[in-house]
Amino acid sequence: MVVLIAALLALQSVVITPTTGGAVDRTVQDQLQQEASDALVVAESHGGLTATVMGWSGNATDNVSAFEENASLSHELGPILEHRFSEQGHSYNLEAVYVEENGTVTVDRVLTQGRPSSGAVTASYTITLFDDHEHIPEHTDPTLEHAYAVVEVRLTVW
Amino acid sequence: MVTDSESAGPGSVSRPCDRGQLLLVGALAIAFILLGIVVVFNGVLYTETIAASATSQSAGSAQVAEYELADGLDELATRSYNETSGTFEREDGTALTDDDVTTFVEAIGDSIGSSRSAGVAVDSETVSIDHGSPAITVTVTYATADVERTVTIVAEPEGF
Repeated sequence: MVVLIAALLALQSVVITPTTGGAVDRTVQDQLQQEASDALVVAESHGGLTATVMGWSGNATDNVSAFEENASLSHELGPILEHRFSEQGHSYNLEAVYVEENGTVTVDRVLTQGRPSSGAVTASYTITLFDDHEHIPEHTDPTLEHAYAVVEVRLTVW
Repeated sequence: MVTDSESAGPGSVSRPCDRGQLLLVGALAIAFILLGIVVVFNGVLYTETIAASATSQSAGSAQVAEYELADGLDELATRSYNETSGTFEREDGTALTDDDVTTFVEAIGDSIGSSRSAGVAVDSETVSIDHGSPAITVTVTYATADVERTVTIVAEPEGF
């Protein structure tokens, strides 16, 4: 009887792994992080991130991204995010972070789909904007030669 | 009433009592061993999953950092190269200096470093601007808690 009760307890507690408390599995989170990072790298290899940042025109509210007319998430970045994340049921936010000369940090929300959950992952990619790019947002770093600003594009996926 | 085992014959009532105690103690021992095994295995599995992932993430992010630096430097090389004079120039027309390149790479490095828990160090003595090839060369060290990687980036203007 005691053995049976002990065996029952043991089997019950085997089920209590890190994932059953509702927490996200570690390997799944790492996988998502790697995908987010790869999405940014691939998009920028075709110039997608630079095009997206240049077309941005104002802070986004939920599910509405603010771009200038005839611009949107660039056609390199948009489909990647759509196929990889939205169609698998994930949501994402896209932000552009600028650090100016005097140290102020500005975060421009490019695309928002809500508040990230506690299991969200982020990936970043740093791009440089140059003076001859069009439609540049107004955050310049004048100490850089030829360059207009250094921007960190941050993707949060959950 | 106490049963006297010596006065009773073989196969008396007291033996089942002893056997019963042995069975109880044995059962308790098995129970504790089972629970102990379960607790230890849970702990081992959990630590394994966490420990393995951290280092592989760092290696991946070192590669991404190399792309970020290479992209930025390639664009600088393309925009500052003046084909008619065959030199790398600053915006005012004078020659591009090592300090310009160092400042530029450091700015990108700062952005990379603040976006992940990493440090990007540029060795300004390794900066070389070769107007002849043409190419700009820089050596950068990327360091996180698990990984340290030194990379030499060679940037050429587009079309060369």
